[in-house]
Amino acid sequence: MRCERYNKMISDLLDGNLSPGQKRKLEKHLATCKSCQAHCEALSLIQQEAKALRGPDFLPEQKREFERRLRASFEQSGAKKGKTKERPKLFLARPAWAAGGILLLVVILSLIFLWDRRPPEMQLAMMLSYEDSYLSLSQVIEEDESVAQSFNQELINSIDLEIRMEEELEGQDLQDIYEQEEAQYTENNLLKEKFPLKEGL
Amino acid sequence: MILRAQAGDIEAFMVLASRYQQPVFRLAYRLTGNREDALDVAQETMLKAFEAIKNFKLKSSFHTWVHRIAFNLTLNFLKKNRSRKIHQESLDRFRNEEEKLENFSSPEQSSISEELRFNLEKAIQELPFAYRSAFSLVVFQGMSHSEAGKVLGCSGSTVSWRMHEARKMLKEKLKPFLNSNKEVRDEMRKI
Repeated sequence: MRCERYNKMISDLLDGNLSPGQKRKLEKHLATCKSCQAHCEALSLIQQEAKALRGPDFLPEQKREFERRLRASFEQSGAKKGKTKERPKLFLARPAWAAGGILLLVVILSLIFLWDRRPPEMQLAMMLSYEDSYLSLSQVIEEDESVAQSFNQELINSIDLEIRMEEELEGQDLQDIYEQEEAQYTENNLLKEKFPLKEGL
Repeated sequence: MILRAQAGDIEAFMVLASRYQQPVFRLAYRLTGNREDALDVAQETMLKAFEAIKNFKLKSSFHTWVHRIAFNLTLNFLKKNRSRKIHQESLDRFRNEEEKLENFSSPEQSSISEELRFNLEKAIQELPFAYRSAFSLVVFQGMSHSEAGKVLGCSGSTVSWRMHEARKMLKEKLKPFLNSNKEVRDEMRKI
């Protein structure tokens, strides 16, 4: 168990991952332990032979071919990047189209909803001031007899209504009318107060 | 150079790519066990690095960053090609006459070392992926435990433990060759 710990220290030593203190400890142990000495020797040999196994090298023509393919890929990749940089221009074109579309839609909707279907006489009256509209109305009445008749009839009706209301009020005493109104007001407002006046005092 | 590459300078990135293509290729080769696949992974790594270099923070090491990309791409590649048989090309190098003759004093020792390397290469390829990747980064790529941990997405102490376990597995598999190698070396010392 103790040697297992030193065996790991031997592995760390070969990788240059051992502190000076640990190295001294290991050396002390190796001086007395033949098993660990053999292990150290075997691992050192494996390390030495493994270092000699460098792995395959690029042959000159392989290296040239590798670099040629790499450069072509980089340039292709760079071209792709260039293309992606153009994307904002496309995105800029899209809002322009969108803005045009919105403007067109607004114009169409305005034509649909704001189109005034009233007779031209009324449209004219809406556009004029009170004095102008009165003038315009009198012109219309003068020009069109049916309009004049209906206007006069409306006028007579409104005068009749006024006379009837006055006649109804004439029979009653004004004092009675005021009392009735006050009683109605008291019933509607003052009696519904949450805090009667007494409590406030 | 990194700043120039971040500004989109292809030539600056080519300099970085030529510096890192070999280590990245070797790491991919160690993990895939196949030269063609390793080439594809190395190329894809460089392309990804080129695309992502703008997001690279100069606080960390570019070396570790590139290796992390390579490791992740290799992992994805192996997941996609799990059913595919991985070719073992690790012994190609031994056909090279120059490498056969390097640093060996006697034909007998040369033969034993060659056998040891042959089996070591095989044993490394047979290590479980987590141990093989840690071993490749530390021994072949020369990374510290904490650097390897950043690439593998684990702590330095986990890498340290994996290295210890990987070495135990290798020692176990190479026991017969280690013993014969030791005997020859002892005899050589006597002479």
